[in-house]
Amino acid sequence: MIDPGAVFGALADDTRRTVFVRVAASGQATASELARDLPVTRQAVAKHLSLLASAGLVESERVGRETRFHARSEPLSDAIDWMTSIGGRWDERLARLAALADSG
Amino acid sequence: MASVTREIVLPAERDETWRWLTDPGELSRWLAPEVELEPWEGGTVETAGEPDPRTGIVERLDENELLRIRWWPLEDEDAATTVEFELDDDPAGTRVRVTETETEGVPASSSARPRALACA
Repeated sequence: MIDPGAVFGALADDTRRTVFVRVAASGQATASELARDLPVTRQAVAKHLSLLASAGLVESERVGRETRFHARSEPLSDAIDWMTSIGGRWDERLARLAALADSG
Repeated sequence: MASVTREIVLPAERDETWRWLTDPGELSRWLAPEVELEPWEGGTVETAGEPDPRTGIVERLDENELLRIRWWPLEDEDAATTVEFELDDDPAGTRVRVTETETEGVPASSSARPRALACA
């Protein structure tokens, strides 16, 4: 299950969005590597990564002693697909309602 | 919660607009080809004649003010969403704001699944 609310909620925070963009840009990264370039602690980055993971936006993989993260785009495109599809249905329905109202 | 909102102003009085939103015969002219709706709280809602028929219930009903239904594709209550219609006065008639909100999350698209499994 994709939860569009969780996906957009996870990206609503500036720092978390930056973490996500950097993971996506780097291909894969550890919390320590990400913290090195950001004005936050490794622990804070780890928390952001955990929230991004629960929204399905990053996945982790153990490589030796490291936990490496990579980005996933599917939750984002699924969330946008959901909004586009639901919104499109209402555009059609409301156009029919408007025509009904105009015809009296 | 993700949601989608649309607004429309209809050249009609509130009570006429309300009838379009709650009378099954009127709803069948615009919401879906076939609509059943019991216009009271707890009443059932059903749509048919489309690729994705839905069933649901009326959650809230304030005459000429607000209608909220919770509906889902047949046999898939996990994909339920809430639809709220709010009516307001407008110089040109009656403003209808419709908001559809996901309640449990929506299924991942079939195209995403194989890739998601490959990542796991």
